[in-house]
Amino acid sequence: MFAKLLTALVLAVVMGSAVFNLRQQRLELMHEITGLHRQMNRDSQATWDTQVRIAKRTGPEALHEALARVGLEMEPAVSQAEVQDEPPMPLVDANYER
Amino acid sequence: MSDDGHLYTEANSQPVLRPGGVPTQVDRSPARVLLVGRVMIILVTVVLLILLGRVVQLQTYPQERLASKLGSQQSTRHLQGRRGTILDRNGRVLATTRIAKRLFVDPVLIVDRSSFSEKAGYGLGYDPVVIELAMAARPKSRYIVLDRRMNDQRTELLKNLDLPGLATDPVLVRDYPQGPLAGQLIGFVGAEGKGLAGLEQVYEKQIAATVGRVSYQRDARGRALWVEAGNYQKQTDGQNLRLSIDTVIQSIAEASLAEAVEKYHAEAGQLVVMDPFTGEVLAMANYPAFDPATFNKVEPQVRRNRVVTDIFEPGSIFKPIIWSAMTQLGAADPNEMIDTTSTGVHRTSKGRRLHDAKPHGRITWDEVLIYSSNIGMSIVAERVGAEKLHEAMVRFGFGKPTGSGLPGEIGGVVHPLKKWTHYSVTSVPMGQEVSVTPLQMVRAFSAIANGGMLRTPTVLPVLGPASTPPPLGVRVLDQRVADYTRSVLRRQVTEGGGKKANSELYDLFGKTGTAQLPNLKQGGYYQDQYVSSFIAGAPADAPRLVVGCFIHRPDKSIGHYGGVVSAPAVRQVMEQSLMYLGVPTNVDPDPQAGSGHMAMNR
Repeated sequence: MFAKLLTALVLAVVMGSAVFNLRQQRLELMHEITGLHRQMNRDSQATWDTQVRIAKRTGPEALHEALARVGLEMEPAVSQAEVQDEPPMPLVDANYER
Repeated sequence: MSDDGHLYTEANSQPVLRPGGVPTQVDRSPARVLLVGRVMIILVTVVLLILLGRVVQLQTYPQERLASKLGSQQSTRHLQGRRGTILDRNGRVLATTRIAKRLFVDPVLIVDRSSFSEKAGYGLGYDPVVIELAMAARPKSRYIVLDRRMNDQRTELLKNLDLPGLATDPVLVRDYPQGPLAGQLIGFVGAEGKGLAGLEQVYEKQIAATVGRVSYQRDARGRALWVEAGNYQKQTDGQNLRLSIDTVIQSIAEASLAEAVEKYHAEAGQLVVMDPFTGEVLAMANYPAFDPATFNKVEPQVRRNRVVTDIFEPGSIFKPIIWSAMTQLGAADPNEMIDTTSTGVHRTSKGRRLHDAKPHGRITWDEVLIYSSNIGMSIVAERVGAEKLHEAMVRFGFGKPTGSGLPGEIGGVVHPLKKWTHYSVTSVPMGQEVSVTPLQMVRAFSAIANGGMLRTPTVLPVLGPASTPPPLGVRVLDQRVADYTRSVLRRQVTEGGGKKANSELYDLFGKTGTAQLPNLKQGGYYQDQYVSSFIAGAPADAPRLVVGCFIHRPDKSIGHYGGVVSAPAVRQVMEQSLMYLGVPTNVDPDPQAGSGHMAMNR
């Protein structure tokens, strides 16, 4: 009888410990998730800040100033159009219906 | 009995020590064990039930003292969603939201009150007197804001400044990385984060974010432990808004406009760049410009997007519209000779005296437009009549908003027929007795550039992987008439008043306009106040862009003709924008020349 009682008590203690352990794990996980969530928020806010810095430094005026500062000569990326056989403007009949 | 003096009973008996060291025998009968077992079980059960009850009570109805402590261990925070970013057509950021630091003072935490202001001021670059005054103004407050939005430099300095009493608070701010670029178009947001003007206001629903909420369980030191289920409500970021505006072209437009306005000491100016085939606005510049980040430091009229909110009498830039409409109606043959008189003065059938800037004598109908003859336009307009003229203006979209969806857009003034006077038939073809917005003018001119289709202007991208094909538009001109008008307008640039817009790189077609400002108080027109305009498209054989420049009240002593004041700005914008878009030039551009160099460096 005592052995059975002891066994029951031990099992109860083991089960209780397991339950407590699971609960502790759950809390630790929740804590970890919360920490990660806060970290994600901080990181995304840092990304916002970085985006603004990039945008400021790559704007047309900023690039223009940067190129002027280093004295970099840029050439237009367009070339002369091929000579056309046809006149560019459509020459239309001048007699419109009245 | 054993050797050590213990008494033994039967096999299930244990020796028991009596007081005095004499062992006695314990009753270990099954009945007693059962009884003890039951009592133990009952006791344990009762204890467990009491504990369970206590747990239930703590969870459901805790005592007030405990409840207050439990409550203080939870902290609720708002989760800020990010307002949508406004991008140009290539994804460059025009307006975005970020977290900035708000600097404040908590006087309770200050260690040395006497030297605090000096240390904080000199350490971070503020005036110590200002800090002292701010603290004196709210002596009981623990939250005295010193700087609503710290700059990066001060934020770095604060990290190295160990001064109790100073602290920062994260705050959402709207940032405009391109500064004043397209300021009037983009608009601005108020302190509450809501759009108050421009696209920020129009697309508020789309780009606004929603605020979330989270409640943390905290430990005794206030550190976040975890979030219980149900205590988290996610924030939602606003949608990004992509525009048809091209930041580079916008930058070119604003620089050229500013140069022209400042050169001629004008009051204000607008410049619009449009793709005539889609109706997309690639640039919408206003002068003076303003930075949306500091919107409360400028006058309200500067913040207005005058491209759509203000009207003016267009003057001669209106002639191509009426000229093409009258040509389509067959009112004049392109080669027909029209007598614009050798004196430059003409009296209409209703007795009105009209002048040309200089006498042209007998000229063709084409030359009427090329030389911008008021007399020639009025002679043919009288053949057409008021009704057809009115109909043409309405067909080209004048008198009603363009449908661009921009805030504050007005429709201009086209008087109903019944209000037309005897003079109206000869005034309207010269761009008088009609008021238009710059956007309406560019839109109507685009119909000539694209072969006769009137399209709705838009600041949202029309072409692209995720968008629908451009709307069909409304045909307002026959293709042949539109093409022919273009060829005549090309001659206006090479032979007429638009010579200063003639470019070696691209063939422009356009029309100048120098409209006197109406005197609204005394009637008539001011003799020394003008709107100097030039509107053009290019390349003439396959137009890619239409550019309209409108400069208000230039100093007449320096120059006031549209062909002088506005045409160079339009040529500059056209050349640089087309080169930027990779449109082949007529001749190889000189990299040492200002325009080409500038375009590529932008």
